Amino acid sequence: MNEYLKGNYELDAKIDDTTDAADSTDEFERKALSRLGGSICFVSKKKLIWNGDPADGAGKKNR
Amino acid sequence: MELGRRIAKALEVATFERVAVVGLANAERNRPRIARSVLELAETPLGAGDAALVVGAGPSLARRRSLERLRESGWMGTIVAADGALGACLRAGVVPHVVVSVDPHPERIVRWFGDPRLTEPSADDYFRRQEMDAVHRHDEVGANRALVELVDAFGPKIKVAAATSAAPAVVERCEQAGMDLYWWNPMYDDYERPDSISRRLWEMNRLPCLNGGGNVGTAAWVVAHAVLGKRRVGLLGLDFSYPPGTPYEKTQYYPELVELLADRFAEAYTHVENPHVGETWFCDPAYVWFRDVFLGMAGEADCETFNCTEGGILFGDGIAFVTLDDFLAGRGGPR
Repeated sequence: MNEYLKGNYELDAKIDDTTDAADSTDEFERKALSRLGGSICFVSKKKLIWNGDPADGAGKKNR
Repeated sequence: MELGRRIAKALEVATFERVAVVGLANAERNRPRIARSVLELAETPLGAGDAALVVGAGPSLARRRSLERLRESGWMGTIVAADGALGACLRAGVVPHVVVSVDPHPERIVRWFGDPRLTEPSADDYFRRQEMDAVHRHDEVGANRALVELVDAFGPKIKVAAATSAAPAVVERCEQAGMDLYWWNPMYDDYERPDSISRRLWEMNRLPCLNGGGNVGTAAWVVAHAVLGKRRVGLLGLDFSYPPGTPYEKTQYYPELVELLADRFAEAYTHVENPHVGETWFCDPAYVWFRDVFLGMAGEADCETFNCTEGGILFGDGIAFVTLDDFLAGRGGPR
């Protein structure tokens, strides 16, 4: 098949498309990974419940 | 490091990308329907005593007949179910006191409550393909119709701990079935940062932010002890894995892994030997992440956690691995 698709001309300009390829791979991986994630975030905090700061007049229950 | 664990390390950020935008949009759309905080559940009569069982939708439920055994035991404690386990509970004659729902997906999650609008098999094979609730595999429309009837019949006895991220279709369905909703915000990020999304959300609706641990099963465990104040919390159906012999095509993230890794997709699965049951279960990267997060949270939790699944991969410091019968009888302790 490559024989049929081979160009029959030469370009004067040199084309460097490695950056675009890397970007599109990163974008693909980012999108694919986002579909592998969970249904709710995890935040690395000791408190499991945060209900505002006491200074806000809240903080009724923070665990 | 094996491929599955490398992918798992990226999922904290990936999950934020998956759920934050749509979750916040849903919070805005759900705002007029919010009447109660999830904290009011702590003042509401539920089950007796200081113990709760958290029910997920993992394959051990059917393998071990966990729900049938629970019903036969006549246990009187509090039952908190993930939305995906609601159908299995009701079909087994177990009516959970609380159902937790969080996933913002616009179409899928309503099916866990029975979707009255479904009249023909869905183009989305999510429910037919996976093992989470096998009845949907054989007769998707018939199973849905039966679930609609069960949820309509028992809905008024069930309270929903609804995340503000939940899809409006889920909220409408719960209200239609006579369920009372108690609301909370998912914790999206560090609330101590000045530009925190969690903080802005709290300022908008003044609802508590709960750290959900990546999935609705872990969120249900958080509700059981951090909201309801239960001191002994058992886990059923929280396997975070697939039993030996499960075809990869029947796993939750199979299409995504094939798209990402092509013919190397099988390398993404992690196999874990469970010494308590003498079996090797396997999991996709998301479940590796859920497990690691859960073990970290359980180690610091203000409760005793008992894994009563009799399978899966959830074992380690801070979790006692016991039989369901031992937990129901009040036996066992952390190991």
